[in-house]
Formats: sequence, structure tokens, C-alpha cells
Amino acid sequence: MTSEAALYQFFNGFQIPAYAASSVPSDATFPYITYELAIGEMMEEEVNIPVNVWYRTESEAQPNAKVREMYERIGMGGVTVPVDNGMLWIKRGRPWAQSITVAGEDEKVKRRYVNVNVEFLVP
Amino acid sequence: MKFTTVATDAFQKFQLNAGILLTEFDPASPTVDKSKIIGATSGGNSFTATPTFTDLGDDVDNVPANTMELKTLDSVEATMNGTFKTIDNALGKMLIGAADIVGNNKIIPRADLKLDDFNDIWWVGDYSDKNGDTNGGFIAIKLINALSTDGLSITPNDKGKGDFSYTFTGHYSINDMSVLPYEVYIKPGTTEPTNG
Repeated sequence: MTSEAALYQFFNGFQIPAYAASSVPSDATFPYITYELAIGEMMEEEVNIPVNVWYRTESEAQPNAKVREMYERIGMGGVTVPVDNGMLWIKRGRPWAQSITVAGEDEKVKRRYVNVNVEFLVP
Repeated sequence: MKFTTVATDAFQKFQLNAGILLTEFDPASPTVDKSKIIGATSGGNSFTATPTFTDLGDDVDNVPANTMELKTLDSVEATMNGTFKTIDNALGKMLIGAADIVGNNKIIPRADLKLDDFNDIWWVGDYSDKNGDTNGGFIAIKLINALSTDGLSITPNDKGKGDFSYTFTGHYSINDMSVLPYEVYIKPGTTEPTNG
């Protein structure tokens, strides 16, 4: 599995669709996750991958719960994911999550900006 | 470039994260009993085993320094150091070294060492590409007969958590001086069991 495919599979493991930010379908419905695809290489610093969790709801509970699920899945020490000839080490970034409000946007759209860092241990 | 490369299995052999310090650990049954964690650390932990040699040829004419047949190993100093961010009575006593806990909240330093001031401690860290909760690989270092040799250091930080630096040194025992004061275990992980 390529690094790109492994990231796609990882972010799609949270019961809602996930898309690379450059490939969000025009008919995508809430809730969903978007992530900025970035690829690093072995022995380099970890790469920051900004992730956005999108809900359309009046409650903060659902987006908060989804971000909590991601937080727990990644865990304190991170999680490793196998790829062709190597692995990705996915870690919590800092700050972990922020609530983003954009003036003029639909007030029911709840957005969480999540920092995920990935170390590409792929020769 | 021909010589700018890594082994194809390098990703399977990385040690990951800072690991933990424990009072007890069984490499044959590598579970973590959280009640045995000595304290939370910050900035990682560092283990060093430094040998001291004697070169029997260094004062002999016509023998170069570092001739392997003439080199002898005198001893090894094994230390583990780092910084704790948490402390309790048990760790306070451990950091002082020669001390006793009296009652629930008092630690009295002692002027003399006792043999029970020396205790084994373990550093254990995640290892390998298979690092799951059940069958995850690990590197473990057993520091044998460890004693806090830099004593107690408390550094409160303005608007921050305090630091408690530590240096534990492993010790030989006169009962068997062929046993060096540390052991190392490197165990790759295996695939996690699947549910259902």
C-alpha cells in the first residue's frame, strides 16, 4: 500500500467519509473529514497534516466526540501504519484541535481543525 | 547515489517514544503494570554504559596503544538519567538514595547506605513496526542494584511544572562480581491477534 493510500485508509477509519482536501466531491454531505495530503521521507522531520472535521449540527457534541475518537485512536505514543516497504508513524500534533468559526459561514457548520503529524519511515 | 541508502528492513528496527521507568518488569511476560511506573518523565530518558579499560601494553616498549590482546575490561559504569515531572514519597526516597519514609508524608535522609537502598529499575520502550498493545515489541534495560547517585534535585519552574532530575547508577554485587550492572533485552513485536 502506498503512503497516500494508507493515509486515505487511516482517515476513513472514523465512520464518516474522509477526503484529501483537493478531492472533496462537490456533492459531499456532512459530516466528513478533509486532510491536506503531504508526503515526507525517511530520516526527515515529521510532516504536519492539517485535518478538518466538518459537521452541520447545532450541537458541539458530535464534532467534539469525533475529535476525541481521533485523539484516542492515535494515542499518546502515536500509531504506526504499514505501507509498502515501511510504515507511517502517525502522531498527535500541537495544538491538537481548535474550533474554527468563519464569519459569514452557515452557523450550523461546525469545524474542528486538528493537527496530525506523520513521520514517514519509508526508504 | 549508491551509498546513500538504508537497509530495507530499517523501519522494523526503530525504537519509538521515550519509554517508561518501572520498578518491576518481566521480559518473558511483557505487560505493563502501571502501578510499577516510577514517575512521569520529560525530555526522554538516557542510558549509558561506559566501560573502563586497562591497556597492559601502554608502558611496554614497541607495543602500540590499543593492542587488543593486551586490553582488559576493568568495570562498566551503567547509568540512567533524565528528568521526572512527577514525584511522590516513594520516588522522593528513591531520589535521595539513603533515606527512610516515616509515616505518610515524611522522608528522612539517612547518613549511611543500606543494601535495600539499591533496587533494580527498568526502562522499557516501544520497538519495531509491530508495537500493538498485546504483542508489541520492546527494548528493555534492567539497571541492576540501582542507586540515585546524583541525589535529589528539585527545580520549580515559574508558571510551569517542577523538574526532578535523576541519575541512577547500577551496581555490582560482591556476591558475584562477574554480573555486570545492567542487562538489555531487544524483542521485535509480532502481529496482533484479530478480534472475532
